[in-house]
Amino acid sequence: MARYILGRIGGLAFVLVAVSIVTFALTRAVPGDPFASGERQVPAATQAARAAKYGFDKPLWRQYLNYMGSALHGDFGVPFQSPTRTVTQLIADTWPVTIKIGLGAILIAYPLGILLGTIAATHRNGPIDYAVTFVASLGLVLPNFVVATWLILLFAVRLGWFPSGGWGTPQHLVLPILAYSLGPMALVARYVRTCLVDTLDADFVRTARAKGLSDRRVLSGHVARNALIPFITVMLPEIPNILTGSIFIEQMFRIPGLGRFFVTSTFTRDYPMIMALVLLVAVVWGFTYLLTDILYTMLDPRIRLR
Amino acid sequence: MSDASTAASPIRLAGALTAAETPRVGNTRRALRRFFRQRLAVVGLVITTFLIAVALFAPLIAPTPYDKTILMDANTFPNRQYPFGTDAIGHDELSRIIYGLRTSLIVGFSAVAFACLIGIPLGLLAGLRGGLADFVVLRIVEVMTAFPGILFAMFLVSVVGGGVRNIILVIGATSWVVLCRLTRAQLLTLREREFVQAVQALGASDWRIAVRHLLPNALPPLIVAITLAIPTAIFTEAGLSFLGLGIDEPTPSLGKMVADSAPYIRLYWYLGLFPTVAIALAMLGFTFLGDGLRDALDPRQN
Repeated sequence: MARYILGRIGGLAFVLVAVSIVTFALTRAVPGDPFASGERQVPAATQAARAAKYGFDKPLWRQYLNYMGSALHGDFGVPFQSPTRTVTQLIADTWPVTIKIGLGAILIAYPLGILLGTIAATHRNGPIDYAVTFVASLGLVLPNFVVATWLILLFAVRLGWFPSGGWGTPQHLVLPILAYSLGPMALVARYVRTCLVDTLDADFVRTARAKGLSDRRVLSGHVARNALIPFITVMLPEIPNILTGSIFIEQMFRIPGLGRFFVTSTFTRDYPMIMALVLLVAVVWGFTYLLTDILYTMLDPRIRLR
Repeated sequence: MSDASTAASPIRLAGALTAAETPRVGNTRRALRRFFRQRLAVVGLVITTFLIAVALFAPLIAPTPYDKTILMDANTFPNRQYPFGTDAIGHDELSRIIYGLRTSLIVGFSAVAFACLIGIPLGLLAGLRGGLADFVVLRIVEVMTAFPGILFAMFLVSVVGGGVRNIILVIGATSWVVLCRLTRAQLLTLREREFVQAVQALGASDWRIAVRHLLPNALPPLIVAITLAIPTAIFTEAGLSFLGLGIDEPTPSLGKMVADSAPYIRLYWYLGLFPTVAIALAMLGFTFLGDGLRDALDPRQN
């Protein structure tokens, strides 16, 4: 087991290096100068000094190695969009905001989705099942910026119950979390339904019924544990997506979170910020996958990790 | 459906009859019958057929060209002349939605086609050859998965620029991973089956086995994945357009229409409502169709 985990961490390191090289190459391939100031003509000497300060005068491979060298020491550089802070500080300030929204969404989406999926599976092909499937499909097919738009229109503009955007009070959390949790909830509900339906058809369930166990005992004791395995492999990897935030939700509700930087850094060619964000997402993603695989073996002893 | 009515429970009975009377129900027909027994799948088929027809015949159906503006009639609420109203510069919303649907479907289909062109050959290569090829493909897949999806697409768009063609290429280049994984996984299980050994013993070449024998058997799950990849591509296009990184003016796209409507929606609600309904309809149609195909083609049902 220890050897397996070590090997996986090695693989993760490879993925991170590859991701960083691709991102680095891409940022340098983007046309446009991060220091293009527009109206003001910058003297050639200033430009050269700036290029030297940020190391743009060195060959690309040198720039990359320098970057990775400092990154390994925890120094991700200074974001071009706010030169008075470091990238690390900026992320430390904004990520908690995003995580708050994400955790809220997970706490609503997963329990509710599991409940809906279970109800649908136990009333298979009945009107309740169709209703849940329809709602779940709707949650999957409506982009969350659309959901956000209509939530704002209804609850902020028409009813005035919640603020339409901003950050600070608990009221500000309600609409973004609602808008953000609909998609994952739909996904969970659909997936739980599929897993449960598959498991409910298994022979051991029929045996359990034949032994005279009540429906509830069968569901909680026999079905749940077996349906958990496919559920975990699909739903756990969704969590990093939720925790790293939605560009759209943060844009719509003017939330000072991480998602905003995904957009602004791309538009302003903010190389250090882009690199840090991509690496952050890749690390979170990698560890979630590792965790998924380990949980997998704990739930199903038949699965052996090599 | 007419034969189905003669048998009370078509599937079970057909299975039981095959032995006794051999009524020769082909695999395709059985799958079709299973497909048409699902209400949601039929709804999906009807919706997608309708949308594709609308997109195909857009110039014949749309009342005006998509870039025609009548400033005098700007911001008209839905009425008899403009069933979906007009926007701030006097575009007829109905025409914009019809052409926007066309853009979204073109992007959806082409992006998925492009993703197939990358993903399926790579999956075939990895699944068939194994060893080093498999290792390399798997590592590429891993790196692609680690990239935050929409961020990677945003990057690529900012490198290559917007426009329909580039959006198609970018979405295709970021969404082939699913198809590649699926093809590989299918090949790994099919490779060990007896009929493959039989063809091998007959001396067929690797690629002949892959294309003539393995790929057709791997097709059902691939068809499902492809059908479900189309709404995802439409979704991504809507997102990119929402961020201002998508289709350029004056070409309409459903995602762009929703995004553009945001500042006006408090008063001119119809600008947001109708494109939203159109996106939802397209996504629902393809999702239902894909789910229905999955259930119809699922070999475990046999």
